[in-house]
Amino acid sequence: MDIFSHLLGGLGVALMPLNLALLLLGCFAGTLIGALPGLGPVNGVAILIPLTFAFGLDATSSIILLSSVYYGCMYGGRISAILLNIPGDEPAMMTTLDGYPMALAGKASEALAVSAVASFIGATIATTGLTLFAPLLAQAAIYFGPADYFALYIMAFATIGGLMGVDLRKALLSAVMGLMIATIGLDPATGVARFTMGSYELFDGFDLIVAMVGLFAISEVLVLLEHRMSDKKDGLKITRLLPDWATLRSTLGACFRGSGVGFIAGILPGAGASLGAVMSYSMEKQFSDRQGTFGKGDPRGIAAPEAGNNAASGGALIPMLALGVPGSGTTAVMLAMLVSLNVQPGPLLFERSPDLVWGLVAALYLANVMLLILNVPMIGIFTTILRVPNWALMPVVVAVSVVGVYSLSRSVFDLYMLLGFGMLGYLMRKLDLSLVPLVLGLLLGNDMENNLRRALSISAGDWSVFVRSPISISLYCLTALFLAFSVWMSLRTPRPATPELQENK
Amino acid sequence: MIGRLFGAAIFVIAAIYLNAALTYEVTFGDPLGPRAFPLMLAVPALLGSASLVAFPGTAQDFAVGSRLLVQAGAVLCFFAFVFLLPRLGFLVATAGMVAALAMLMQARPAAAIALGGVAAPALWLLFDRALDLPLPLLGDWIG
Repeated sequence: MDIFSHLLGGLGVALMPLNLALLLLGCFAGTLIGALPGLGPVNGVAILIPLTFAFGLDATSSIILLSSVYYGCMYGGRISAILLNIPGDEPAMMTTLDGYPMALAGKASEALAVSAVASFIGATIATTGLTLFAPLLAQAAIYFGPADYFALYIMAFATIGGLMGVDLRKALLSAVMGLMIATIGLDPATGVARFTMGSYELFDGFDLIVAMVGLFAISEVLVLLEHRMSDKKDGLKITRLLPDWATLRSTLGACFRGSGVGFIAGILPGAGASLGAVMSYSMEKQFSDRQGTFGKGDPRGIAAPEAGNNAASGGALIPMLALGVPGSGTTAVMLAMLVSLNVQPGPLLFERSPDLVWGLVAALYLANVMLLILNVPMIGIFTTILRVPNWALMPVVVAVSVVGVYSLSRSVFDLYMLLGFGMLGYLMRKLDLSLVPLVLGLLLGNDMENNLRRALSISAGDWSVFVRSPISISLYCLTALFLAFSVWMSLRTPRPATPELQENK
Repeated sequence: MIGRLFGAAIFVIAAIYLNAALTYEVTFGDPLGPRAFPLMLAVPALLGSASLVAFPGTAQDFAVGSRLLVQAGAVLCFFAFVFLLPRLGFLVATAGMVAALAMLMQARPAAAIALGGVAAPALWLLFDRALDLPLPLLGDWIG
């Protein structure tokens, strides 16, 4: 009942004309960003952040815009996956397996409709889960002391790389690099200038937004330039706009199973939407592929991963909102924006900023409905925009993000830093060092150090404070379990073929 | 090879970082001081980067030949933009960057210049006029 009244209050926030307009803009932009190969949710959100500052939006409106972009991307990725056999973003990779064969068989419209409905079901289930579980988690997290937070951060860093099946050393090194960058600047407790190399510009440390836009958006341009841009394929034509009910009904089971698997994958730290899609596709294949039709254009093979990646993106918002510990690259970037707007995420967010939390949750329900409308009857708009060539689109996108960063601080120094982070991001992606732990380190570094020092102040320097509370002990045990599990997984399964793509979740 | 070089570079940076961290004095009132947390980071960074030098692990292929030149061109183009922004002003610098990037992405030169010519004033109008975030229209060298 309590949740219901909060949700009604949130609906009031979400229905304000400005927020509603942002929601529509976010859904549209998100679908487009998701559909364009080369732009995924992380880059899309990173590029839009300077714009939200430029528009002078408050925290609630900004997070509504960015979350609707995040949800929209999950819908958009499937469009190019089905029509062009190119996943628009990383989580849509599994959708090409059955989507493109179906489109080749003349059923492109059915494939698009099935995937849109599956996306809707997945995202709605996840949003419902978010509504129910996030407040519970936040309530539990109120009992966390500084030492428990320190344990939570350790868990986030230890697990974020582990589940993706990448080199554990590299994930940890990336996290430590992020933490080291976060220590640059004036020490908040004593005022000592650390690692500033005599540069006054570094006294405040690196601007999170500059780092994010550089790491994700600028590095993406360099990745894009690795290959000649071929002329775009025209893609397959869509013949009808409304779905065929018999096909839809046959995929409902797959949608629900995919949503469940994806939702859990989303909550786990470091897993995110890509893993949600992969897990739900392979589960569904094991569960219902009796005639060997998967991979040849089975609608259930589209429904499961699409429900899975949408559910995962909803699930990933839970730890971000309730604990202030993001589970994926995109949520980390969103959290960075909140921090830049002086909103301290974590369990107290639900107490202090109910408008933000519940406005966001209500907005997500509305976003789903909007996205379904945009993606079923109005799909033609996106297939037309997809024909705009890359050379006309990417330079403008780059210019918007660079100008956005510059307009915030009017500092040329920040622009050089942007380039530096862009090149660092590119190099790390080529060397299979995931950027997500680095971003997490940058984001959580100061909090981690503050909690460490606060815990030791309380205990008067006694280090046993870190293993005294039952919460800390269970978090360390969970961390150990996760690490053991990921080592076991990496011994058992071969590396994914394209770990470079892991970033775009 | 690049993986090993990267590992070595991080190792050197971590060593400098460690050395700098050791100079910070432990002050009163705070049992830990500004030194301890950086030290806790420098040690795993040294170990992790050393292990990358010894075992670089997997890596993607870097671009070669003409593609590498195109990437270098893009980086140069960004640098030129940042350098020229205060000097030539927003319109010229942005139009130049957009046109150059478009050409690096195989646009025909006329189309690329047209794109830059349209995008730069449009962005100036959006940021400077509509959003009230002043941008230097003409730089030191012109205005």
